Parts: sequence; C-alpha cells; structure tokens
Amino acid sequence: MKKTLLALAAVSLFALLPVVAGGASESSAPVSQGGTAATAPKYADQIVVGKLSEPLTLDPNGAGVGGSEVGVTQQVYEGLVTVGPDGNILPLLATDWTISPDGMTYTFNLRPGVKFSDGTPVTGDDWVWSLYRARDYEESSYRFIAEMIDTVEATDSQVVITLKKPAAPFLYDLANFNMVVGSKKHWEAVGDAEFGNQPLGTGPYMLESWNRGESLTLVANPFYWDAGYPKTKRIRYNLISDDNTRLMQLQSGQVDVINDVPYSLLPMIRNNKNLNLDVFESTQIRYLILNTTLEPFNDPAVRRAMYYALNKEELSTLAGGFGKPVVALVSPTEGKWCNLDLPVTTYNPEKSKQMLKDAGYTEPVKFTISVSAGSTFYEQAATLIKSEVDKAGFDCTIELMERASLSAKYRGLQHQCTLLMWIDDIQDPSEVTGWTVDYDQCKAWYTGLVDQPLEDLNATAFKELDETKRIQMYHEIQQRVYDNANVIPLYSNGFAWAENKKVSGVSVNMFGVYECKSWVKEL
Amino acid sequence: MERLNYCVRRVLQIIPVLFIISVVIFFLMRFIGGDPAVMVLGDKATSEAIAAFHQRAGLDDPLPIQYVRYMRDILHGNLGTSLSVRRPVAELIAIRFPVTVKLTILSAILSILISLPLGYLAGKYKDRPADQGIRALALVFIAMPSFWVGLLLMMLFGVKLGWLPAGGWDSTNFWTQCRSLLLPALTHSLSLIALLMRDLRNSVVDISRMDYVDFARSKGIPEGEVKSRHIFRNALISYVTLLSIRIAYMLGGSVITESVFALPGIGKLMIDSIFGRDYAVVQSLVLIFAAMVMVINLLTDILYSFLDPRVSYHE
Amino acid sequence: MSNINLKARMERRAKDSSTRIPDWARRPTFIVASVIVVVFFLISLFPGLFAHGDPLEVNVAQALQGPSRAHFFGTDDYGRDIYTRVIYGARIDLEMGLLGVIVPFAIGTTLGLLAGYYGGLLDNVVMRIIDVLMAFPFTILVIVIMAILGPGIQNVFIALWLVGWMSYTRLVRGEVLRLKDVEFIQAARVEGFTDRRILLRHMLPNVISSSIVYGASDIVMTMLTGASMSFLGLGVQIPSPEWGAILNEGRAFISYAWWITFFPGLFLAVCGVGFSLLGDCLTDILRRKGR
Repeated sequence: MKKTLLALAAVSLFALLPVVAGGASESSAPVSQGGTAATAPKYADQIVVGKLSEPLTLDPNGAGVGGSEVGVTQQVYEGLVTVGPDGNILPLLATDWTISPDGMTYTFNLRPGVKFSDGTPVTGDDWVWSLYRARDYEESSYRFIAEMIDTVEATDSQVVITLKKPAAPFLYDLANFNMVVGSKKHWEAVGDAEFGNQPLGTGPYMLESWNRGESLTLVANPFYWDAGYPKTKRIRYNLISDDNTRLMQLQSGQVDVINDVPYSLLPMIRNNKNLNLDVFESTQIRYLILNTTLEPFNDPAVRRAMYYALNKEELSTLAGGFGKPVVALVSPTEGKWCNLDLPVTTYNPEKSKQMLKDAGYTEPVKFTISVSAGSTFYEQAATLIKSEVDKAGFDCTIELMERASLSAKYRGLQHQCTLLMWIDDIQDPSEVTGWTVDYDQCKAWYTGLVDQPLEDLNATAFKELDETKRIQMYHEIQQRVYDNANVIPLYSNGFAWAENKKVSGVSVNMFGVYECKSWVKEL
Repeated sequence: MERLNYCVRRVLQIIPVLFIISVVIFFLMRFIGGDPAVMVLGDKATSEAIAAFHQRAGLDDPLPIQYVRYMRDILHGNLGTSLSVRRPVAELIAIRFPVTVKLTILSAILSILISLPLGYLAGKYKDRPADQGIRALALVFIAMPSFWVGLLLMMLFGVKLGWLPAGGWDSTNFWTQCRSLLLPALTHSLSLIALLMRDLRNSVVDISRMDYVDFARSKGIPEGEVKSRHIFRNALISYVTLLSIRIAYMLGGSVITESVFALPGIGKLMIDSIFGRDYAVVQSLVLIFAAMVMVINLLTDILYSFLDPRVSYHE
Repeated sequence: MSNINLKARMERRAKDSSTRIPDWARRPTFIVASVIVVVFFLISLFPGLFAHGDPLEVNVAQALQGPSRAHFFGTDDYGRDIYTRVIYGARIDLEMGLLGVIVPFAIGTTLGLLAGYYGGLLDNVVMRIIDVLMAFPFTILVIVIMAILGPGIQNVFIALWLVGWMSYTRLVRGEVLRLKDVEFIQAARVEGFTDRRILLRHMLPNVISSSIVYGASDIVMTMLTGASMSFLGLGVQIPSPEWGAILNEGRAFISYAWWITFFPGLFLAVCGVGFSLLGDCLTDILRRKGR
C-alpha cells in the first residue's frame, strides 16, 4: 500500500517538485531541507491528529465555519498579517504596511513570488475577490470581521484597503482566519459549492485527500514561499467522534496529537509517561446567560443575587485545575482590555438569600437551566450550579435538551437560563462586547436586554483610535454589563492538547487557532 | 405459481408504505423545531446569513411545495443535497453504508456461529449442566449494557493488550477492516447471541415434545431424520424470525456501538443529521431503512414459506 | 414423555398442591431469581433502609475517590456517593423496566393473537402499521418524541411503549399462524367452539410462552434501552440517579475511575439476571399448564 502511494506521489506533478531527495524515502527529514546529515534526528513523514468532528467545509468564508473547520483551513490559507505569540501583529503575505493618519486607508506591500499550491501566482485580483468575499458572502457568520471595508484595490505587489469608518481593531481583523487569499480562478473553475471541498490557498499545506467520515490528509505545498516549512510532509486528521476513543488511540500510538481534550481525561494524560499535556492560554470563557424578559430574571435584584449564589471557584474545577474564576466580560488573556477593578464576589448563600428576601421573595426562587444534552461538560456544570444555587435561596431544575431544540429555545428568548461559551477571534474586546451589548446582533446575546446608552458607548469605543481612551471605554462597558448582571462570566480555561512525547512544535494561540507548519515528530 | 403471486403482492405492498413513511418523516422533521441554518452557521450567525441559507436551501417555500420537490427528486433518483456539508446525500450514504453493513454482517455471523450450536445443545440436553451453563451465559450476555462491554473490551484489547485498534475505522484493506470491526461486532452481537440461544433452546425443547415428533418417531422414521427434518427445521422458524427482526433493528440502531467505537457508519450519520436537522439526509436515510427493513421482512416470510410448507400465502 | 404421562402427572400434582410446595418453587433457579427480584423490589421501595446519604449531595472535595469504607462504591466527579446513588436509582430503573414492558406486552400480544387468528383486514392493517413503525429506526422515534414532548421520564415511557409492542405482535402472530393448522385447534373448530374460547383457552396458553420469554428478556432490554437513551442525552433528566445515567456520567472517566461505570452496570446486570431467571421459571410453569 505504501509503495502504491509513493508511486502515485511520484507521478503527480505536485509531489515531484518539492520532494527533492528525502521525500521519497520512508523516513525523510523535513522535506524542504533535502538530503540531511546522518547525525541529525530523523523525523517522521506524517503526524496524525485525532480530530473529534469533521469539517463542514474548507471554505474559510463558507457556511458553518467554526473551530473545527479553521483547524484545517488555517493550514491551507494565509492572510496579509498574523498574530504573534505575544499578541503583536506580524507580517505574513504582506511584508510591511502603512496606515493613513485618519485611520481610513491601509496600504500593504505584498511578499513577492507567492504562489498558490497549484503553482499559479497570487494576483491582485485574487486579493480583491477574497476580501470582498469575506465581507459579502451571504452565508458567512464572520462578515462582521470585514464589514468596515469600503473598497479594496490591488496590484500584484500592493493591496490598498479603504474603510467606511475608522476601525481601531482592523489589523487584528485582518489576522482572522477568514481574511485570507484564495484563488479566484480556481473558484470560478470548480464552482461555489465545490470550493468548500477543494480549497486552494497559499498556505504550507494543501488538501491531498478527504475520505468523509474517516480521515482528511494534508500534504506539503510544493510552492510554499517560506523556505524550510512545513517541517513535516503530511498532516493526517483521523476523524474520531468519541473522546475516550481519541485518548485510547493516542495511548496506543494510532494518533500522535489530540486537540481540545476534555478536562475529565487529563489525569490519564498526566499519568502516561509517553504523553505530553499542553495547556495553552485561551480567551475562552463560560457564561451564565439570564433571560431578562422572563420571570424570575427580569428582576435585576434576582440576577444580582446570582453573583453570590454561584460558586465560581467550584465551577472552575470543571477545567481540571486550569480554570480561573472571572468577573469581567472580557477575557483576562486580552490583557489591558480586561477590567480587573470589578468587585470580586465569592460564594455566599446567606447573602444571596438575604438579597432575595430584601427584594420581596419569601419562597425559593424557581428557575430552569436549559443546557445541551449528551455533553459531559454541560451536565457537570448544570449539576454543580443546581447544587450551589439550591442552597442560596433558589430552586433550580435542570433541563437537558438536544442542541437544535435548545438553540431554538434561547434564540426565541423562551429560556430562563442557559450556559454559553465564548472564544475571541481577534485580539480586541470589540467582538465580545458587540455581542453582549448590541441587541441587533444576537438579542444582546440571548438575554433580551436592551440598554441603548451602553450600545452607543460600544459604538463610540469601536471608532476611537486613541488607545488610552478606548481602554477606558471598554472598562466602563464591562462595569455596566456587570451591573446589568444579564451575562455572568463564570470562569476562563485553557485549551488542553495532548501529544505523543516525540511530537514537538505544537502551539495554539489564544483564539484556539493553530498552525502545523512547525510540527515535527522524531522517529 | 402461488408463491410467485404472493411475492409480487408483497413487493407491491411496499410502495404505499414507503409513501406513508416519506410523508410522515418529512413533516415530523419540520415539526420538531430547530433550524438547520442555525445548526450549520452556529451561534454567531446573523439573521442575514440565516436568511441567505434558507433562500439557497429552499427552506422558505411552503412545506407542501418542498415535499413535492423532494419527492420529484427522489423519483428521479436524486436523494437531495445535505444541508450541512453541501454534498449529495447519496454520496454521504454511499461512503458510510458499507461500514454499517459490514458491522451488521459480522455481528450476524458471530451471533449465528455462537448461538446455533449452543442453543441447540442446550435444548437437546435440557436441564443438564451444559444447558444450565449456556443459559447462565445467555443471562449474563443479555443483562450487560452493550456500551459498557464495548468500553471494557476496548480498554482490554485496544489499550492494555494492544491486539486490536482502540476504536476507529481503518479502511485500508479487508484485514484492517475486520480488525476495526471485530470488537464492535462482538459488542453489538452479545445480546443477539443470548436472545437467539434462548429462543432456539426453547423451540427445540417445545418441539421435541410435540405430537408430530412423537408421531414421526412412532412411524419408525430414524431418530437422526426426526431431529434434522422436524425438530431442527421447525425450531429454525422462530429463530429466523427473531434473527431478521434483530438484523433489521441492528441496521437502524447501531448508533451506540458506532459512537463508542467511533465508526463512521450510517447510525452515526443518522444521529448527527437528526441533531443537526439535516432534513434531506434524514429523509433519505429513513426511506432507505424502511425499504431495507421491508425487504428483510419479505425475505423472512418467503424463507418461512420454504421452511414451513403449512404457512399459507393467502394473508 | 408422552402426553398421557404428562397429563397423569399434572393431575397428580393438582391433587397434591394444597399440601405441598410445588416442584417449580423448590428449584434453585427459582429461589435465586426470587431472592434477587425481591431484594431489588425492597431496595426500590425502601431505599432509605439501605443507604443513609443523599443521592444528590455534591461534595467536590471528595470527587473521584475509589471504593473505600466510607464510600463502598467510590464517588463520582462531583463527590456524590455512588453506592447511595445506585440504591436510589433502583426505583427508577425497575419502574422503567416493568412499566416499559407490561404495556407493550399486553397490547402487542393481544394484537398478534387477533391479527394472526382472524387474518384479513385486521391483520393487514396491523402488519402495515408495524411495517411503517419498524421501518423507522428506533433512535429517530425516540428523538422525535423527545423533541416534541420535551425530555423527562414520562416521555421515555411513551417512547418505549410506541416501539415496544411490535416485537410481541410479530412473534405471537407467527406462532398463531403456525398453530392455526395444528390438529387440536382444528379439532376445536370442527367441534364448533367459539372463537373466543379457542383464542383464550387454546391459542393463548400456547403462544404466550414465547411472548413471556421475550417479555422477560425485554425487561432487561428495556432497562438497557433506557440507559442508551441517557447515552444519547435523551433519557431521565439529571441529576436523577438512574443507573444508565450514572453509567453514562462515568463514561467520561472510565479510563481511571472505573467504579462510576462499573457498579451501576453491575446492578443492571444482576437485576437483569434476576428477571430473566424469573422469566424462565414462569415460562416453565406456563408451559406445563398449557399442556
């Protein structure tokens, strides 16, 4: 079987060009280095990732793009800029750029000689088409990332973007996974629906094969501009729909890496000397969502009593020692943007009871928390919340619902209380505040709260180019959300990954996005 | 001739049933609520994105029109397009169906291989130690939750001993496929083995007491022939019925085994599609299941008629 | 082995039955079965006698402890005592197993008997309904019912009832078709017995044994089905201590906290063995009476 594959690879045009010498041997060194010295460590040809869910599409702007899809598209597509490990903007396909003093015009100089993985050069046309598509593709859930773009003009060496209004986070927006360049010609050739199955970008990898339900294999892009990358020729995603099975396959060596490991499995990884556990800092926060249009949470006093009825310390243990209780809406990982001056509340059932009594409630306040069925996390969280609030003057019932019914329920504001999760996509607070404050986006994130002054403040903050003032505004927004108590941040947690000890180079940014181009596996 | 007539009649009966099923599942799926667009686009979806999705997928049209369009496509041999992955439903099913069929076949083979001799032995040596041992085995097999057994098998053979893959599907060749399917099939067939063993045993016990067996013996038919022609053949009727019911059940109900062992089979596709409100996939899968179940029932009944000539064709 | 011998034995036993315990009641299987079943009934009726804690009591500080003197069966990820939960779960599971079977058993057997005996339109209609329902994969029915009615134990019952009766009907109908032409039934017809008498006195006792055998194993199957529904997140609502739900909660921890999954599984298995054994004895009794 291996021989057949190699033979196939040999005749294929793609494979012939890059694999200079080492590629054809079974245990090649990093492909682009060609022949290696005998003393250098030998690296494997392929790293296998145990992936929980199959991507719906590999179109970075397609319908249904989320974490699972981005895990793959990020290897295939690249944008103008990227975010470095410490949160600064780094050049990627743009080598440098200038911003006009009014903050309305961005001019990017393109890296010369960049080609798509089919060998065709990237043209200005491709950039114009790609960025407009990010803004305009109707079924994309991430159009808001590009909505401030007015015009895009491009030559083969320069991209000029003009905005409709100043946007402070625009460079961070450009680093997002959907602001990437794809081949317009290829899209025209294969059609829109097929574009999601046959991606074509400039990234370190390209799609080699996709056996639905089973595996998805990426192979090194022979025309990749960054010499020396990718370090491993193939990344294979094995689709394994069960977390226990993923872990067992990791233990038995069938897969090398598993991402987003449930915290309940961490002890197994810690106890296994062949495995590495990595927990990366993330912007992920779990929130309790209280519907302000229905009883009992239409009463702000009841919502505020929740601050004392919830034991965030206890809830954060669900993240297996990597959870931290949080107070502010914005993740502490966002650094300066997070308001750390908000009052920290601790579990105090008596105080909660007293607050409810003061507000005129003599009986325990009944409510139902609706959460997603079939998920260990949500069942655990709901069980803990029930046991906590029941001692604090509430009477909580848990309702497990399958996801479609649940989302229909909270989108229709028919729930009383639910648990939702947020991960930032860009390093800026505007995304999460927009969601939590702007009623038009998601009914103020399914709490039904309309707070017009707060919405106005958020709109002003978005346009403010003076960073000090902007920080102040976002801190105020967080204070007001805290006072409204419609969205209660519970705790933040890291992204847990587990790898075979022989694998190195794995890192994940605070948005959960990772790149495989530096991954290696020693033999 | 009579048998042929019967078969034709039964095949024709399948059509109206399929029609009813297509109507029922079409409207049920829309009745249970939830929006496919939300399931695909996620919580961050704006109302414009959802509207665009509805527009493209034709979900804005009145339901009867959507149904007619769906049936028209079906009659043209087009099973529709998945709402979530935008691939033809036929393609999705074609990829996953072989896994489930292979799992079912292997489970059925395991069940028959184990239950046939053991069940017969137990019936023949009623109340002797062999019978008691076999019956105890059946009891334990039935009473164990299958995914519990699956997980334990996986831990033992997959992780501790490393003999078989710890779940997952390796389609490389026949050998790897068998390795991937062995533990799931064993898990899947435990309760079936038990049911079949018990049923066969009871039938053998019952029938060997019946008048016509005594009658056959008294007519001087050799003991061996009594057993093979009368006891065994009659016991098989109930056995075959039960087996076919359970096979039909297995083809539709392998969700749990497929989930535990992370097999990309049809059960997993079905459950994901229901949860994801991927209407076209669910509708087509249900129709295919329905056709399959009915064909199996038909074959069972025909087999029945061969095994037991007394079954009449005039239903 | 012959009929005459059997009849003679039956008559002898009928005479003796007032003064001594019948044969079947003294068999070890029956004793084992009754002990198991009675114990489980006691547990489910008076759980407080067997466990003193609160099955819902959360104590995160004691999470995931192995079996010990303080916690016989260990604790789960919330520090709840598994032993207490398993004891309190007995009622839910027994209820599910029994109620989930009795209704379909009664409906299914009756329908099978009537459809098989009368044939014609009734048989056709019943069999077509079965065709339609059987053709729906079980999971679809369950999910659709749960989505329409909302989750909860009463809807679990409705789902079990809706799908459970079909197997009985098919089984009984098959048996009836087989018996219809057997000599003693034909003889009864020739003698002009009413349909009702033939059905109740001659058919039922002969076909019900297969129905009961199936029903006895169906109790176990039904309990396991309930567990599978929890597996899909559609069964009994948490934090109810149903065995299947506990088992499923333990699933995430099975690689290092085996006790969460193991003990409810064991209880399910033992309870199942008890009911199956009892079903076997019942079958034996019925078979003898039928002759």
